[in-house]
Amino acid sequence: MLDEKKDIAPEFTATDADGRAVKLSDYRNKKNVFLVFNRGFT
Amino acid sequence: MAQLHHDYPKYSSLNTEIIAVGPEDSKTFSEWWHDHKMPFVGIPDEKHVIARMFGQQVNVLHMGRMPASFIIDRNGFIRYRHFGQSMSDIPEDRNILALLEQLNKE
Repeated sequence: MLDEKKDIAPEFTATDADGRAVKLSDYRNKKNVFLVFNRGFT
Repeated sequence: MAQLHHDYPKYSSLNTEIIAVGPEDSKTFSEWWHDHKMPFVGIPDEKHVIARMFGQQVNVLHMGRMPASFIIDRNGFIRYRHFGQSMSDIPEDRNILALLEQLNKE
């Protein structure tokens, strides 16, 4: 079920694995984002 | 992650970017990311800054973070959230893809 409450997602800026700056708001009005927090990759 | 990697074209076709966040330091994370040729966005979050913003739980007994996932729509709203109750409590991709299809119809 999609949440109808529609809380605004906190904005973040970070450097990705390729060294590029990523801002969550870069996707605003463009794409949905599936944001996944993993326990660990290694 | 392997499932997400496999299904990434399906996410792309639903106009969705995947951003995966991990607890490793930048070097360790980047090496893993490139070794596995991950096609989407990966962010090392060693100091748990982003994890805290989104309320990801840390399980002290298991010495690590619990999995969590979110769908954020094009308007910047959180439309789905899942906080894993165990390390293996991760939503199935087909369920997430169904939600994204529904979201795109709005």
